[in-house]
Amino acid sequence: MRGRHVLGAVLALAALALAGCTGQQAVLDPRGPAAAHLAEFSWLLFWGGAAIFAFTMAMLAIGLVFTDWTKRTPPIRLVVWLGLAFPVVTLLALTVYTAAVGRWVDLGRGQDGGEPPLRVDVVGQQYWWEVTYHDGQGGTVTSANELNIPVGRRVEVHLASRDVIHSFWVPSLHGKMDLIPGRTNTITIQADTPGVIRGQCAEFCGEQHALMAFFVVAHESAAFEAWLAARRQPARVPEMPDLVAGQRAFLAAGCGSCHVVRGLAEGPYAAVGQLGPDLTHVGSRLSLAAGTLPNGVGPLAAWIADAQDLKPGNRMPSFHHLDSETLTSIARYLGSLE
Amino acid sequence: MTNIDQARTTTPPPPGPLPHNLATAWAKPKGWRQLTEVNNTFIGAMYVGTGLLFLVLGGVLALLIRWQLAVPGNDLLTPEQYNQVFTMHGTTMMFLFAVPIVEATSVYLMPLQLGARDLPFPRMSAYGFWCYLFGGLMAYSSIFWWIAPNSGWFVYPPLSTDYAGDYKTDFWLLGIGFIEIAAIAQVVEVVVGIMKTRAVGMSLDRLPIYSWYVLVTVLMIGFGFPPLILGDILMEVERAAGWPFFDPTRGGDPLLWQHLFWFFGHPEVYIIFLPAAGLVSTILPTFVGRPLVGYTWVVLAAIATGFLSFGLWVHHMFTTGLPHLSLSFFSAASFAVAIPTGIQVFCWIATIWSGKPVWKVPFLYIIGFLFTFVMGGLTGVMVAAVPFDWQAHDSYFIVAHLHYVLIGGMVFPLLAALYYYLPLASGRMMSERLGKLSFWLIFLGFHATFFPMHVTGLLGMPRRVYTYPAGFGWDGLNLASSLGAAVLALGFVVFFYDLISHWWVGPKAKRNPWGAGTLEWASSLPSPDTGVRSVPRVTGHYPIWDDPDLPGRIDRGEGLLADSPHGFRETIRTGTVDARPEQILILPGPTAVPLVAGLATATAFILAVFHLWLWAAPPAALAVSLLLYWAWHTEFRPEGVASRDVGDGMILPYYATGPRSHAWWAMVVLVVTDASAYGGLLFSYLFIWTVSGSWPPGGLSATFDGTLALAGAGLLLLSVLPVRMAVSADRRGRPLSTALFLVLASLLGAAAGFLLWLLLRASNLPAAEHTYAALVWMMLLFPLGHVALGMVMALFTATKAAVRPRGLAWSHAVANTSLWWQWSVAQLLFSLAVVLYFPTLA
Repeated sequence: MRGRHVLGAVLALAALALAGCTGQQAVLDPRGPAAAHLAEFSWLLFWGGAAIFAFTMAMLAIGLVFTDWTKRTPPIRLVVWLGLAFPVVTLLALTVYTAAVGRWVDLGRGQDGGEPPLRVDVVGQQYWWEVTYHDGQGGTVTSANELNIPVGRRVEVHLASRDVIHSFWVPSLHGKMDLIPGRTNTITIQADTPGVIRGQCAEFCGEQHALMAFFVVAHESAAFEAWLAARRQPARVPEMPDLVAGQRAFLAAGCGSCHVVRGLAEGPYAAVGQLGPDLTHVGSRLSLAAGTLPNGVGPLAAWIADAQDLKPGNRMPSFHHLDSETLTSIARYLGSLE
Repeated sequence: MTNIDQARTTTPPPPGPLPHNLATAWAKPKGWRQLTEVNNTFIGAMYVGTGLLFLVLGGVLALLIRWQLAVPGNDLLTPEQYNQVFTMHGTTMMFLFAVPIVEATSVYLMPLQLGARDLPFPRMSAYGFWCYLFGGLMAYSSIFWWIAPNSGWFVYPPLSTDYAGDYKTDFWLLGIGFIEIAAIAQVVEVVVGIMKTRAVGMSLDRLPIYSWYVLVTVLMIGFGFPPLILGDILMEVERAAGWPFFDPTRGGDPLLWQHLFWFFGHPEVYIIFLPAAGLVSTILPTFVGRPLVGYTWVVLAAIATGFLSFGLWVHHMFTTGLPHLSLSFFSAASFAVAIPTGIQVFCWIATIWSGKPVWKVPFLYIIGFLFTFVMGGLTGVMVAAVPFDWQAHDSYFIVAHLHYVLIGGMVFPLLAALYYYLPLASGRMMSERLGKLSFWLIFLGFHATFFPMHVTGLLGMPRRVYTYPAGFGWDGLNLASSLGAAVLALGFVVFFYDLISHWWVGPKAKRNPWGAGTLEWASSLPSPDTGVRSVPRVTGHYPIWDDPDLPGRIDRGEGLLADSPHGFRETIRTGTVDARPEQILILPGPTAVPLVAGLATATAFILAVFHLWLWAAPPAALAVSLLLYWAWHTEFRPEGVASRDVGDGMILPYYATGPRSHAWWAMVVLVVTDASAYGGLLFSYLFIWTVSGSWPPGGLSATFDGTLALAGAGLLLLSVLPVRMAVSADRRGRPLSTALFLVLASLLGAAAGFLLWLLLRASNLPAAEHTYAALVWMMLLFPLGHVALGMVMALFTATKAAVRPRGLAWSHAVANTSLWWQWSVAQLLFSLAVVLYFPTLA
């Protein structure tokens, strides 16, 4: 019976390790209704599987240890009852239950009477996320690498890709859904408590697949509306002289050919480029370069100077040639865009 | 027993020691000429050895991965290097280790178990092996220059097509496509071997259980690989010629590749697992001293697994946004495959219940297999549940699951089989002490590496990341996995030390050292070059247990084919169902053709990767001429001997044609396999139709000239007539008429091909601009290529029939050309009908 002791220890260890799951990016740390169902389902599958495994190993151990006793049993009975009948019954039940779970976690289904979901478009590209909010009155606000949502309200995320296949995965909110060029997929998520949750690209998308993360920030409903209203505004116009200089340096360095800063559409150096993330409110974001760096003036300057060293293969060139004064001034300007 | 020609038979040999003529016929060449040997024990051993070499090469990459991921933010490898390393790890393990080594094991083992002297087409096995060795090494070496494939072993477009850079994906496509073709060669070999070359009395219900598994496996390869080869062709054409199939901006769909890939990719894991399960079913009974419980159950379970495995490829695509209903179907099918697996597991447990275990190393590995594989099977059921898979998919949970089923389900049985079977090759026993040590290191190291990954995945860590941030609870688990990998690697070091050193220091194995019941243990050790000394009559699943004197009777030459009066390598061809002896097959002896042709083929492929077309031409030409030279020398008919007495007063002919011959069966298997590739093409056409709004899509309009189509189709139909007349002329013994009919058929085929080419040219469909146009071209070019190959075959056969080389015949070539021709014509006519009329229906 030693085998069973070892087995018990392994299972206990596993349960311990699984129960220790906390943090902001975990299947077993749900922050919304869909993920809660999925976590519950995962536990059910885990304990069911563990029980069947333990039982099967016990049968094996009996055969190995009690050799005289087992010889008296017609062996084909094991096959008929445990090899055939038991799986058939279990799997039939599991099929029905799985279909039910599939319906429970489909938040986009059958809630016509309630509040309409917030629509957000997410477009994946190597290696960041463009996020566009629909305010329900036909207006849109575009940002990047961060998904701000109101708690308790369904958010319908439309997923598309501009280059290769990516996958949108916020384990604490829902399972994953792929972003496929030429197609649009939809997943409906919902967060129940305010807080910051991390998500990450889950389909291998090239050199920097590992550094293609994003944050979901769940706000109370009113706070979210305020947040969205603020994001509708064009970029803050700098008043302090060093920020004005920073803006000038930003435009002179040609940043505007890839990035949009709303409000800077006029003049010889406009910021209307569509290749990189919208920087209108970049100073208010939690991270830079899709979760690669924390936000701040220092990281901004480092990123502008060394983007290719920090995240080799991404589309942003390193601006080595800018002197540190210029870099700091651009970084301070961008940091001020809240 | 037809064609008995009493006048030309020889008298049977007296029973006794190995006759000189038999020994010389099967003698292995000495020195470097050994490499020209084509016998299955030599090729099989080299094949297994090469597979193990790639296990090591793939394992080194795995260790690099674990080293990189041991701590967050590690910079051992650059992101690009890491991506190449994990891509090549998967590619090497799946295509260069797992699939080849299960084929290799069957090449070595199956004839010994079936009581055959060799497989029916030894040169083809040899050619497949050399292609694999050279092609595999060349493909792998790309990692040394950091130009290896870098978009995952699944090479999803558009990442692999438009974003992967030069050469990298081409290495994957050409290297792998080519190794798949070598695998198809084994399909033909093994199917015909099992169907046609067995010991007398080994009817299908007495077939060794391993052969059943291998039969199911190679049929799966035959159906599963060709659509992927087709997919490879489409992707290479997209990369090299710019014809869009997967590019959504020009009407294609990246999901088409996923369907083609996983239609192969899922059966692939059963292709790897089933032969291993066959080894378990063979080895386990030896160590409990009782027959396998539920032989029929196990056979049916293996067949059921084979069928079901083709119905669940979409479970790799649960997160691509397909409709819920189809997801539910594939989820249920994925659950269902657990049922035959459950049956097999409990057949093995029941076998253990019925006997008393002997704790030798192979048995330890089998227990390790049961423990690990059952766990992997259960996590397999978990990920088959769609909602759970939405979370687990592409996370480390899957990495854990797949290594549990592949290492647990395939590597553990393989290690058991190596400990068990190496005495056949070396005549020596591996060490029990080192074996137990390596088992515990590998077993514990494996679980320490992969068990934590279940948790890492559920903590939200995605796969295929070259680094990860600290603070998500992933650090400790990753470090544990990396330390486990070191232990696992140490276990393999011990194993390989034992494996290599036992050749010199292992104690000499006594005959049938494990007390097994199956036929491969009936001979003295190491297994003689002749294979079985004389072919016994088999009456059950465990011939040695049924008749303990069987080895003695085999040695005394009391079975069939105990000598070789004409000095040929011979084996008996038997009836498919009842294994009644029907013919003596004369097998080829040592030749350098497969070796040189394999080297030339691999060289041509690799040069093509670099688009060095001119440089690739000479090796390609060399390979083709060698294959033709080889084809010219097939169908050896010894002059003056039509049949002989093989013992027991049984007189068998040396030659048979048509459906009775093994060559005809080989062509049938090849055509069926090829039909699966054509099915993949047809699927692609229909799939793009389903995702397009209208058909033809995108405002395209095709103008097909009805007269040209009708004339082309008419000529094609007409060409079948002379081909069939060639067969009947050959049967009536008129080689010149045969040749003329074949030439006529070729001319008709060429004329039809020309008309259809004109039809395509005039159709106003620019293949590089839209998927629809590219598919129309492909639908016709693919079968036109078949017709062109048929023309080569017809002209070659016509020449052979006209020249009538001494000692060589051409009837198989005529019959096979006819089969190939009719299949090509059918394919082309069908394509024509689809291309012309489907748009009007759709």
